[in-house]
Amino acid sequence: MEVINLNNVSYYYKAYNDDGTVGSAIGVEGVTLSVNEGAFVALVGHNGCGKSTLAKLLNGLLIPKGGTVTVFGLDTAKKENIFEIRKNVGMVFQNPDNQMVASIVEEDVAFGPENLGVPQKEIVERVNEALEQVGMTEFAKRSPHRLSGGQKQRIAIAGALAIRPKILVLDESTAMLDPQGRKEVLEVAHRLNAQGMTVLLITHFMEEVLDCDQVVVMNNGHVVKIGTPTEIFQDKRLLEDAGLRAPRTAELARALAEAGFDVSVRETDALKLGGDVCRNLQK
Amino acid sequence: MSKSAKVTAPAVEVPQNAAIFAQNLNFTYNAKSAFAKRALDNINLTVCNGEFVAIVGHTGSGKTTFVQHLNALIRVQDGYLNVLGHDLSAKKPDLKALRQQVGMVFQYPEYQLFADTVLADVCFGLKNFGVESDKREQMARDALELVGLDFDKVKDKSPFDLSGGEKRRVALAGVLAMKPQILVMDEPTAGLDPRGKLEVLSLVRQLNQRDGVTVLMVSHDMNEVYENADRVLVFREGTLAYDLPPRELFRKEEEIRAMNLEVPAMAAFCNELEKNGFVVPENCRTVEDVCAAVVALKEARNA
Repeated sequence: MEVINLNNVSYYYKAYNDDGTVGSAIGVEGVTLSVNEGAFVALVGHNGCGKSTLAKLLNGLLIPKGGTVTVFGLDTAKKENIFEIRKNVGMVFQNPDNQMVASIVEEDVAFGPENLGVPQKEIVERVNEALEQVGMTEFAKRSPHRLSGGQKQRIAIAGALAIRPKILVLDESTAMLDPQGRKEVLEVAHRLNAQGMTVLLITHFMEEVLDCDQVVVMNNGHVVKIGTPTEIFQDKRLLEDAGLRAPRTAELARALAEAGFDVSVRETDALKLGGDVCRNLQK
Repeated sequence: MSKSAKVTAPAVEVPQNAAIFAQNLNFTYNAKSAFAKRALDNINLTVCNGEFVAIVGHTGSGKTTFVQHLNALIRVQDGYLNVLGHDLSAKKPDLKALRQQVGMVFQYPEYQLFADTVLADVCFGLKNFGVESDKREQMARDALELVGLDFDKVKDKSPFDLSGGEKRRVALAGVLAMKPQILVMDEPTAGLDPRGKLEVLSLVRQLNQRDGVTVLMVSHDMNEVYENADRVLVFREGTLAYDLPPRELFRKEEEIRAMNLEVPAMAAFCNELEKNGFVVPENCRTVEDVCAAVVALKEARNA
């Protein structure tokens, strides 16, 4: 079932020209995209390519200037739909420190359902459940400010989960984390996906898209390619144009295949690739 | 402890050509209180002029505490530290001179941009160091061009109208304008997209190789450490756990993983080849170099 549909969507920002007149800058232009229920989709591209604009169009934080965005069949441009859409699309942003609103973890997680007017008893249930889903139950009574970056992002995800969304959008939520924190957040995202959550992961770390069902590559506000991770990794030209870089192992596999080695260009595990090359050399 | 160390400090012999020399360096936060936390535990190391050294370690391992010693943001509590001939264990080192020679780039330096224009922002440090106003613009121009920005195009822009990668380069220019001999950077590529990362890293390499600037780079990205550094310092719980060239360090796969660090992809690949008895040249660490080495191995077998 299709849960997100973008049909020829454009969004422009107001921008000032050098002479002081008001012009416009492309956020996204002519984007058509469909996401199915339960999918794990990665959205990649360099800084300023329109990834975050696209994310903000998904829950009505931005309303398209052209085309339509529908979430569960609801048009984001219609005011009466916004509430329902936002209940279904949870968003987590880049900087963990900007997303903490309370001084106690469980109060922070409760912020969303409180605003929805959920009864007190159910809020407690939702908060406990959300904290469990991200593996942060033991931190419920702590202050968020003393947590690591990865832990803070998991709290932010719990905050989104407490509104019980069906879609989770992670807008560069791993960009400011150390490798450990990134791993924690990705594990949570994949676990939620395995339980049926539709996940849209926005990132420029290509190592993170390895396990995604589908990768959407953006450049200058346009979607330039949609494919599986290995399809995308092999397209050197596309990646260069989009300011991206395949994981090093994928790059090496492609270069060795071009040099006549019998290795899979799909190999992304350095150890396995090493083993394959040894067999080639021992022949 | 610190008191007696200062009084009885032995004459220390600083190795020739050392840009940074630390001996028995210790540091404790909130010393003599219930919250005392040992952050540096007997650090001994030498960094030579012109080296490119990476500093890695888990969050809380003491990396930042150590680099903050280098331009005396943290004063030496116990032990000996010499940076470019300045004895930082002394009571009153010449901090102004030191800070001109040691450029410090913090995490997300673009968050520290504040002025109305790019030019004013880059000139701020120069002004504080007492550079005369007629010289400042030329020095700012040199620094902005060094980081690959078109001076005439950006000088009157607000730094906040630039892209993330450009902002970071403006922030770097503010530090480079003083022409430091040592550049200390805390995760200079964090948060940048792959193209931005490559730009910043190639700039740093250029400063190191062409201009002879000594570079200390804190990084969590083991691939980038592996490809760029001459030497890697690994901090663990306040101690210097390893001080090795990258190839040698990342042969210790199990020890690296035990510290929750990643093994770089090219290191894992070459280690696997070595385990199978193939010899891979010590200095090939990038994808291109590794590929060329493997092709050479094949040709040698065919010959």
